[in-house]
Amino acid sequence: MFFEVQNLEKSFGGVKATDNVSLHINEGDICSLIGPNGAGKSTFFNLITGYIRPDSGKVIFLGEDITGKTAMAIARKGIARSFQIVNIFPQLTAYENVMVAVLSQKKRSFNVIHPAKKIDKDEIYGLLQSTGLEQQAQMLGGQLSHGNQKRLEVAIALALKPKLLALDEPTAGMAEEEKSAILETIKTLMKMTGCTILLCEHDMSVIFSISDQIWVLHNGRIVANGNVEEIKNNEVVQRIYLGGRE
Amino acid sequence: MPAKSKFVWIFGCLIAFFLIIVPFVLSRFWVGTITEILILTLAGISLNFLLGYAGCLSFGHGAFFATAAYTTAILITRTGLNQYFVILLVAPLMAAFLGAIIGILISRLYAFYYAIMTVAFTMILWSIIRRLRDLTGGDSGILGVHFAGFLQEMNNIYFFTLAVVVLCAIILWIIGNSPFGWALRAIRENPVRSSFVSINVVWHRYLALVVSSFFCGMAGSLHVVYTFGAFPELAFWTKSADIVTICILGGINSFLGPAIGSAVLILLETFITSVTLYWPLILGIIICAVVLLMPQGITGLIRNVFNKGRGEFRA
Repeated sequence: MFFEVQNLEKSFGGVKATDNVSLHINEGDICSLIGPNGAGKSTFFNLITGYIRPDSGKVIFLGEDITGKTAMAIARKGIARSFQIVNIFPQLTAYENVMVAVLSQKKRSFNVIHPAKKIDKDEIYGLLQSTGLEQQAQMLGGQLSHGNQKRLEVAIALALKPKLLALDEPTAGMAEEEKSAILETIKTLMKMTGCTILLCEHDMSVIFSISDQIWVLHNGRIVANGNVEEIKNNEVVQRIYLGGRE
Repeated sequence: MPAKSKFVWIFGCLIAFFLIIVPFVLSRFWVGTITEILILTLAGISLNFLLGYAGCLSFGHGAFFATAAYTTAILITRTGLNQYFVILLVAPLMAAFLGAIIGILISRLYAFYYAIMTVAFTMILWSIIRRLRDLTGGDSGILGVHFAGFLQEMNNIYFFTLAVVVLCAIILWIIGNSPFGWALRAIRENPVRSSFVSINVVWHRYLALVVSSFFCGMAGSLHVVYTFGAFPELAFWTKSADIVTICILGGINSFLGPAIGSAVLILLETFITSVTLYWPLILGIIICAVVLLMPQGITGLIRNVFNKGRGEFRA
């Protein structure tokens, strides 16, 4: 199995943010995790990428148990993530943002001799180009538009050459045109790099156009899974999304 | 060539020219003052490597300065070892060793927890130095430390200091622009995101402290060459505060900011103490003015003038 989660649990105080979640992802798929706001999507992402430790359950990646490992170790194993709330290096340029990730991926971050700016230029520009940021390469991360910051998020994650790319609401806060543009980018990237993608979204329209496999999260539990058609016709899902807020 | 780099280039050449002719045109007093500025500059650059690049505020760099100074003084007075190139390697290594020990305890800490721990360590060292009278001379320190060979005469001391400081600054500059230096900047900007791009945050911050303490130790050793002694005040927290002050005066986002800070601090001290005894009062007012009016320090102000007030600043 490429990536598997077994009975993952996490509580904050008395609230079960992740309640007995099990799922699996096949290599080469675009998988989506959907659910209304507060369903526990970001918590789930934080659990599998090492930001927080699960209370119980297992995360298995490429046959290896990575439960409770540090964010750094998990990133090294080949799971890269982007963040829902923009999380970049604001006082570094877009180029430098990607550069530190590339250098780290190549295990060069303990090199104290070579000038960093002269290493791997083509690769860094390639990543900026494929995420549509080549014009903004010399702008500070903090000065980019929101949409471009989200793109930079993706570029930083891609710099790690991940086998599994976990994108936490890559279209959050974007205008409709921007949304479809970034989805196109994601599809192209996937074809180019061959990495598997786990997306999470609360906006279903975004997901339906690209997903192979969908998991629906509600109040910390998986309530449905299947392909796009199955999810569209699933009664529980319709109730959650159409039956008003809970 | 843009105005800024042209300015830096011309200004740099002038400074280099000035530093070379100093002993031939200025009095002994000024040669000494500039030597002092150079030594404090190295301490400042070493601290700024930690503060400006890695974002770790150490209020205890005096500890590394003093450790190397005492190591130098003790080696010369107590052992027959009096070869400056051996001593100038051993003494900074002692400082780095202290940095390595302290680093184990503080590399996971951030912001004022980090700062307060470094203050604590320098105070501990200060008490130890004053207590170990047999080894350190207690309150009066170690006096009359003379290097063998050519390091007796002021002009030679000046050129020696200049050469060592420039060499160390170049090494730190290279490290600062290496992938390691950029990983430190990433950590300063966003430690959480850094760990998600698989940078080992704690280990990098630890090594940054060790490197920084080594070069601060080098400054401490040079201080012995210049003053012929080692004194407990070097480990007192005000010495550490001086090093932080020059970084903030000069601007922590500039590599050579501490050099400007150091020149300003020592020159002001020299002038003002000749006029009034209330030097700390004046210094306090200056620091307030810098922090409030030019938070990026003097170099930040200069850069803003060239950027026509666009307010960009970066290390």
